[in-house]
Amino acid sequence: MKNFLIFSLIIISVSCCKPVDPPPPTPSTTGNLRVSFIANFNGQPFVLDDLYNATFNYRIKSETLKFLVHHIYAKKSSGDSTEINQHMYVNFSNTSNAFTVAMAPGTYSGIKFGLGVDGSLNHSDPSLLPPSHSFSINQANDMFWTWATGYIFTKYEGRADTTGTLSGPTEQLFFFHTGADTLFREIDLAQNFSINLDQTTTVYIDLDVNKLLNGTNDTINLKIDNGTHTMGNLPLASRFVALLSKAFSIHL
Amino acid sequence: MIVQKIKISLRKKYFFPVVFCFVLISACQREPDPYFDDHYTLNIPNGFPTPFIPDDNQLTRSRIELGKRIFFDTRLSVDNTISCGSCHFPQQAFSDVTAKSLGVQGRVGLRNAPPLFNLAWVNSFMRDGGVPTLELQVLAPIADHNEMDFNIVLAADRIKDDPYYKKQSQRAYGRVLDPYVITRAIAAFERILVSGNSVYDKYLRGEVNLTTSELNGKNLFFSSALNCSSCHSGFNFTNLQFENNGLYTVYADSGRARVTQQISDNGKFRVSSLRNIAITSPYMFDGSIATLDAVIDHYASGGSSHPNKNPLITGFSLTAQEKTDLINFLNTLTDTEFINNPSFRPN
Repeated sequence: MKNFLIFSLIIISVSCCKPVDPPPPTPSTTGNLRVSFIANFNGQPFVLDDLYNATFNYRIKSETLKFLVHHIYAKKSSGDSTEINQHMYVNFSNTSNAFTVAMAPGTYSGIKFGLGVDGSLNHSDPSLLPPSHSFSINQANDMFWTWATGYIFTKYEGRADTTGTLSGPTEQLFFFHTGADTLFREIDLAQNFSINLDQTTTVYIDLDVNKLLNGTNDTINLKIDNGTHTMGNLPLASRFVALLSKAFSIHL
Repeated sequence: MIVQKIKISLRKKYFFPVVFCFVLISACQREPDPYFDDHYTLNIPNGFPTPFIPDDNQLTRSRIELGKRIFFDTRLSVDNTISCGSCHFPQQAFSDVTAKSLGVQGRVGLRNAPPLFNLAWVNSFMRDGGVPTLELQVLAPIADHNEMDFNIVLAADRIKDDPYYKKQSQRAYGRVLDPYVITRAIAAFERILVSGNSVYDKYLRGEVNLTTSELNGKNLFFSSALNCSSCHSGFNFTNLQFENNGLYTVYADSGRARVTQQISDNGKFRVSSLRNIAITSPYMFDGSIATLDAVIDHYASGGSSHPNKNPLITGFSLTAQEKTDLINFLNTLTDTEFINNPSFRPN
């Protein structure tokens, strides 16, 4: 009896340590949403280091274009929204800037996301985030102000031909490094889409790079305003962020 | 009798299961953290308050040793030429002898490299106070284009397989050397750079006497006529505030305003500690004043006009002897034990 009890206890103890058997497969109840950040230049396919004609008859060669995205939501027409990704580092040096998430089937009315890093995380220590986190020092090590704690939300760099002849040398360097709590923006884009059972729906968040310098209400002349690290020229950083936040569109 | 037998029977019956359960539970208990076995106790000088040491980076000998090794490792820079110690010399109280230090490819730094000591009592870092922790401060020179111009992730990849780092990183932090380890280890080393044993400290403890000239200088320093000690106050001879000392009428470097974006902070920089001041020339945030003699001349003149200038800087006059006395007093703030400490030197 005693041995039986001991044996039983051992068996029970060992059993407790074993992983729980996976449940039997259940029928799928979700579809997939793929969200892809892409870019164009005034309707043309955008490629880094290619030359594009821009306003003022300038030619622009974009060499770096990247930004941090915090909290991406799929919206419903009822006003409800579901967070589909907490953090993303969009870098157009990469071949793709997309993610896929399983979602309940249904009809959705758009996507919204934070451009930058919100105040809850903006002043944290990036080396404390797990390497899998898009804002960790392992992934976003070049998107952090090192002289003042906080993230660089956006980096747009390149060279321009500002002769106005469309044939001059691309000698004018430009850089827009923006990042401050006051420059965090929420982008809200309307586009109806459906998620169907076991199917993948792709939604494109499309950035018109031409609009980064040439918007409806403002135009940045690279001959005059060609660089900001935010704190050194906050007015220009604010103008750039205003243009950037109006440069996104959404389509299927 | 029957009751006694039942009790014995029950004891036998449950003895092994109980022992087994105890063994199981014991096995589940956390092991003592091996990374704190070599805890390092910071030697806090008399009169110093309790230092701030973050919970996730308590001082241990392994961490300090690792941090020192990384501090002096030039592989942190893009071209393997610049280490932290390239601009922070132990014999200069971990400051540089040039106005602005040279980084990779001879690039000139933004500001004068500050001395490093008593950092466990500082609440923000850089001359404009933009960085809140010593751990985060480590990122700045590594990434700065004019200093190391590198990337801490690549730096970690470069050195993590070094046999010493491989072993010591595990011993100190229980993980492979990565950006977390680099920032923590260097900060741990920097926190033990305690300077509190100058001639003046010994004088305060009654161990030595000051000369007549030094005592006269002391009286001048603490006088309301000069107001030195209004800002250079406390155990560390700094109030840790940000002040505009009238160095310029127009500042090319906005100082604290870069962080706060407040016009009222334009041209303000952290008040420097005066400990070891005699060996940390050149002076000011940009290293623009070469000698203590010239620094006193600056304050005696009242400085340049600026809307943010500290109103206490109004100028004063000193005789030649008084100036000498004041400098002699400032010389008593040098901690030779600190600057000659072999444990702060590269191995």
